[in-house]
Amino acid sequence: MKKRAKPEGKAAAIGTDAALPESGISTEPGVTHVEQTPPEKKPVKAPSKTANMGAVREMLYFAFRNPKLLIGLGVVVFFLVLALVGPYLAIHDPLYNINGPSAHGPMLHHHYYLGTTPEGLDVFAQFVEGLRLAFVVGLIGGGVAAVIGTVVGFTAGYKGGIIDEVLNMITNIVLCIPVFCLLIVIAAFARNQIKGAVPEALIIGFVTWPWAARALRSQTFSLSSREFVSLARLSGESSWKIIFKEIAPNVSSYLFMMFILLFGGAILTASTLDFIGLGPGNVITFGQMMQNAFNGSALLLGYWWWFIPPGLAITLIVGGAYFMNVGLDEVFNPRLREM
Amino acid sequence: MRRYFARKLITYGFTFFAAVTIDWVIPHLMPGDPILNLMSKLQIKDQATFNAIYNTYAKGFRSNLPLWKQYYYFWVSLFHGNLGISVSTNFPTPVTTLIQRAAPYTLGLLIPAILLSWFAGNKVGAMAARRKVLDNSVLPVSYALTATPYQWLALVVAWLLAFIFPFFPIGRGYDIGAIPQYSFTFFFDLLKHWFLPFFSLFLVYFGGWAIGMRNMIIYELESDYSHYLEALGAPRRLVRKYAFRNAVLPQVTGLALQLGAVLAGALVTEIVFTYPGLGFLLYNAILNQDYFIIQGVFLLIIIGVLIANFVVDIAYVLIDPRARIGMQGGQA
Amino acid sequence: MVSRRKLAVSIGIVAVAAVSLLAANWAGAQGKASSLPRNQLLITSGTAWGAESNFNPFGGGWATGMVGLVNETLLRYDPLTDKYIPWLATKAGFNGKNYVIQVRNGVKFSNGKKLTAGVVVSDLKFGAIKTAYWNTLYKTVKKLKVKGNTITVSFKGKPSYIQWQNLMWNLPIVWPGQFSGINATNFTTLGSAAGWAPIGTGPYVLDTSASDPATGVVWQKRSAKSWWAAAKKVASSPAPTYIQDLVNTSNTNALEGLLKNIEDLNNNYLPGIQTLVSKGQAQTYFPGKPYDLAANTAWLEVNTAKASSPALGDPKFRRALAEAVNSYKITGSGDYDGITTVANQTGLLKVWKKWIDQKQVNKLGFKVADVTAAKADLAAAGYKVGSNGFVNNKDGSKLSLTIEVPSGWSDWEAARSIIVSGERAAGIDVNVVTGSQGQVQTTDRNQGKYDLEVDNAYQISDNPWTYFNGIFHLPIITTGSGQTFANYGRYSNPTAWAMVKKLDQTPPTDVKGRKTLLSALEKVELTQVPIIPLWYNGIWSQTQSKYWKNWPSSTKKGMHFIPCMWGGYLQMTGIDTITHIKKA
Repeated sequence: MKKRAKPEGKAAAIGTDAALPESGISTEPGVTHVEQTPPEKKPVKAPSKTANMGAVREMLYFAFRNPKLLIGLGVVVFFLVLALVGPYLAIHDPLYNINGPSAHGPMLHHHYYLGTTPEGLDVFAQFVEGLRLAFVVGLIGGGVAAVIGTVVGFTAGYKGGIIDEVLNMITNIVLCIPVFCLLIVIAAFARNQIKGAVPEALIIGFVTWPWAARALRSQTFSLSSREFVSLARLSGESSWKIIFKEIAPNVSSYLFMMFILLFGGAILTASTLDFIGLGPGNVITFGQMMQNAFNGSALLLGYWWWFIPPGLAITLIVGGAYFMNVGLDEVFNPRLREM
Repeated sequence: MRRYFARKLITYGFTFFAAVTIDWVIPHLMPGDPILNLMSKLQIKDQATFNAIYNTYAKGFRSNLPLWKQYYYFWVSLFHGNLGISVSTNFPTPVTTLIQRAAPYTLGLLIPAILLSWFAGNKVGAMAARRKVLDNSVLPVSYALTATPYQWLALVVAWLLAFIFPFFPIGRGYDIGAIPQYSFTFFFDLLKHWFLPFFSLFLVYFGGWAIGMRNMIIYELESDYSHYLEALGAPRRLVRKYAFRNAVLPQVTGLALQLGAVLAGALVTEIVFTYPGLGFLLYNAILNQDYFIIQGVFLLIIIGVLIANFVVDIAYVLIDPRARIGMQGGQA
Repeated sequence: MVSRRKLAVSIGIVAVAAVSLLAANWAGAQGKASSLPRNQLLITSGTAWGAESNFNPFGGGWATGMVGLVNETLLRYDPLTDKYIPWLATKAGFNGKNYVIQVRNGVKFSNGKKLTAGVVVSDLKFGAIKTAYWNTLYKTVKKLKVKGNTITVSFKGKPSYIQWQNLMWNLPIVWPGQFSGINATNFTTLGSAAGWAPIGTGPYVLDTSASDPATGVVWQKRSAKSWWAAAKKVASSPAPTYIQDLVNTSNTNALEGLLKNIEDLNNNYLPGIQTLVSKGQAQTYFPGKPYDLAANTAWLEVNTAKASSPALGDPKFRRALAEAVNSYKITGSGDYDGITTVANQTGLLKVWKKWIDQKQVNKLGFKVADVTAAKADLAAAGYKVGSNGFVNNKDGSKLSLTIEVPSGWSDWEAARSIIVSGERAAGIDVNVVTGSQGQVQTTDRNQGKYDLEVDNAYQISDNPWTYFNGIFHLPIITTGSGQTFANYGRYSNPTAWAMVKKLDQTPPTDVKGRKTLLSALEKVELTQVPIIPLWYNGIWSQTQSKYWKNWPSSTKKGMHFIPCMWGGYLQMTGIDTITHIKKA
């Protein structure tokens, strides 16, 4: 293993191990929003199987008693369920059924639970489809970013040397280029190819990975110098085996929390892209609902049921996910539990 | 120390190079041809006329040269401060002029919003940490704010404060009919139009900083040195003070790292408030396929983010003794 | 640790820097009044969607008011009475095969120079430039003979009667000296560089200090008596000292501008005009439905030459496409709800009623909003329904079409929903592709990359020739910027194009000949369906009487004008709106 004093990423990684909570970079660029990076977990020893069992039980114990985790999870699950059963509740076609009354507020009559747009479209039907697509974008976009970030982060952190230098350079370059600019160019370029939420999610995934990669790299870096990793290396195991068997389990909680953040970030990014008119055609997303409401002078005409629900849902889903993360952090990290 | 800065400089150099290259590629990647856009305003009835005019423009834009030469000239004009001309409704206004017109509005929004939210967020976040009552309110609110899509918060703020309670005007930089000048009336006019986009940005940013600070302080309070201090009988206030000092440093880094994301927020907010800054300029450029404006604005953003990052990197070393020692250790 | 003092100081420095940067832009505006006096200012909006910095009247992207307020035309045209109004020419018309123009005496440009027959000839001669819109027409001119104030135009072969007459009320008369540097490349953009001060014969000049490209252009009234029409009592001097035309920034701002009395005349399409009028918050030309006069025909443009969608080249398929659209629903519900009307199957505007062969339309026209008929036509033409429930191409391959409208044009987006649902009900798979106006029109439409697109390219005019020229114009340019002004559907029918040219060359006295040709053109249109007429778009116009009153209205005698600032409308009767309004 090469010797270097510090994993040298950005400023936060400069400090010394003892004093500075490196994870500390509580904020990372890359996503349109102020992101929270989960604080780093410091593995102390190689996890043995029995200890693992005990730890899992202990975590579950705390998980079920952590209000932040439960509230956050509850909110996200509520919307997930609504996204799944919603299509059965919304009886009108969200885009082409224009038989509703013009710009009517929410009503139970004819199932226009969230009212109608001036064209007579069912806002609830649009909301349900937007909700479903938000989860699609979040899961796929966040998932792709997490996979790329993980691979790059593990490789750079474990391999070190020239591979690390190159990967780190690429990561830093992509980090410095505002994601939003990249997205605008790509979205405009691939306009006729973006026919649904999936291609959009993929594009978002491909540009939002760098901060995750960098955070993971420094984790891997500190882990790979631990004894249990050295032992594994001595026993002649392949790099990827070591990464997946020895390192990955130790950062699994971290990976999970990272995914949650990327999930939220992808939803927010997509909503912004759709809002400025770079979204997919043929479907209706939260961002497009807000765009339509804005263009349709909903603010001025007071059609609040048109633009409040989509944004509120995003806020609750993403906020719930973030909140869940704080709870998870407390579960995984005994020191943080309220005493 | 010198090695550290040398490394940093190399990284930034590479990043700048890559960023400018990507920026140069933009019009080549975007669908459509800027020259065709310009020519769509003319009534062209035969191929010969088309070719003649196309070539005239191609010469003007140097797009008839081989790619490497175009690339070379892009750098040359860049160092001459020439970012090309608008090819849509603003033709032939230089992009630099348009940016000059728009940039002050964006800076005027961004800088106060970032700094004030950073300051307030840190304060509130630090106060909330480990104070159950406060934490229970600050934390959820902050998470909600930071999880809010920029455009939605802007819509809600505009709806509430411009339409339901019409305290502020929405749209444009100043009142219709006002003539820009140095006067108190006009300044007040500007301020009136500035407030809502500023406030909306401030709120979103605030949430992020407050959470960051709160989490950071908790880590610090639970660290060994804090426990040690407490064991020594140091007053709780003193411990918190030390924790704050340590926690504020990563927040400085965060400030720079967030700049790219923060800018994106400002751009979208400007669209909702039709505030005549860079975001609105960019938005219209996207709508009108005005590639050189898109290119120019991106370049400005990239350079801004780079400079900010670099400044923070240096500042970080200067203000954090641990980082200094760490680096010297690294040198040894 | 960052000290608070340092932070405060840095905030201060940055704030000062930002403010001074901003102030640097306004260095020229010192010592002026803080704002234009509202009671002397007419504020209009709804025409410009981009910077108002082009002062070239020959293109289409000029600052609102360039033609009409600054540069005037020889004649004007009133579509409501179908009459030409002598303007810079006291008389103009065909005398046999020659066109005779009497240039008005005593007209001065804003630079003090006199308007002469020589000036008009110089302007006409700009037509020799290949990208001038009257270039093809100009090439038919044999000679421009000047004698005193009279210009006699003779033509090679048969004159293009209709086009020439149309040019006379559309060609802006400029001071030729200012345009000496004009060429094919800069034909529509010379005059957009900073510092260009337009020179014209009209009632207004540019107010350079109050104009701001991003906010809008400001015109200032020329001093009393210096406008010929007022001096000669041809028209009254306009009441507003200033006219400011605002650049549209968003639909919300447009509507708010009207409701909050920021704007006096708004030419935007605004949703909910009906409510505004009934609440007394705005006035329109008609007090009730349809509120506004018709301006143009919104049609479904079909890319008849799209290689990847061969069905679009089949007139029978296009007929089915047309029948599947429920235009009644578009005009009668949702956004429009009665403020637009369903178009005749020919798409010809009501002002051209006398040219419509209605008997033929009844016989040959497609059945409006008839999904059953569409299905029957598809089946009869050999399009079989596939496993996905939609019809396939004749060769059995999958048939899937796209439809585009510019993003953010909310009324058209609503219409798009109705079109798509109709087509799908008839078994035609149509999908939405989003895109900005630039993408949809400049790229996809002009360069032929679309399948279906909603468009309304041709405005009301003095003869339906302009409409058919837009549909049948040949040749089709397939490379480069593509079709930039006509035949976006790439419909190639040489016989029809020959008829359009023949119509142009039929003298105004031969009404019967014109009628026969138009009827034949309508027949081609009805049987071939090169475009699908949907509805008539209004001359959107909402007015406010807080600062200015006496707006045009269908109910007031002598006030039948078009209250509109759009390009081409000021020289119709838009300028009469300006000269008739009074201080409230």
